[in-house]
Amino acid sequence: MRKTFVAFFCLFFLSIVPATPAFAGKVCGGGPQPNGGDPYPSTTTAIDLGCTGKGNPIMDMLFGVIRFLAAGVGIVIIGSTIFAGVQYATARDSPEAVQKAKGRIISNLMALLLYIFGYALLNFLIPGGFFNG
Amino acid sequence: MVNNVCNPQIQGLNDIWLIVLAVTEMLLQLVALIAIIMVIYGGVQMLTSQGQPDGIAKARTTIINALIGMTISIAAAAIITFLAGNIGR
Repeated sequence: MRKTFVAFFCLFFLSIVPATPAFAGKVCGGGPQPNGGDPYPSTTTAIDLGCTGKGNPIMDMLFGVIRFLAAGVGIVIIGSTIFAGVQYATARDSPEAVQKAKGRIISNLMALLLYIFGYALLNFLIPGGFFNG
Repeated sequence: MVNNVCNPQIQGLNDIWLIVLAVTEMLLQLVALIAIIMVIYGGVQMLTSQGQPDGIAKARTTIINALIGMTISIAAAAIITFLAGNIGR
């Protein structure tokens, strides 16, 4: 748990280091302001976070991360369901192991349901602006 | 030589999912192997049950669980895509 946190921490700071010429960086932010002032400042990241290059750079990065996570939900749930199948297959004849596998499948389906309803709620609050950004 | 099959080019954050997809595919290939091994294990259990009814029932449960698990794993991608196909892309 702590190792994962440290890894993500390092990845984050690695990603906002200004890009050296060796890495073709990606520009975050830098679009015009809605009230017609100076354009937003922009920053170049070493890792492509999926920025669109417009608007506030912080929000641009955040929406990039949100899109990254939204793209992975299906893949992770499919992988977890496959692992539940492995658990079921190796349960031999013990009912407890079968129950564990079934619990994993039910958790996967609940996660998918929660994600679908969260997606619907966010798209209801900000139509089309949250995941396509 | 085909050396580009499992060599995803990582250029951005979103390409991390390519690695996860490759691992998932490897897992899917492993599932069939595990199911075959468990069916063989169930067959050995049934062979060595010496005609005892509860031993035969245990062996049959092992084989059926192996087949159910393999079905779940192989159908997982289809089920999740059917439930949430166009969400998140």
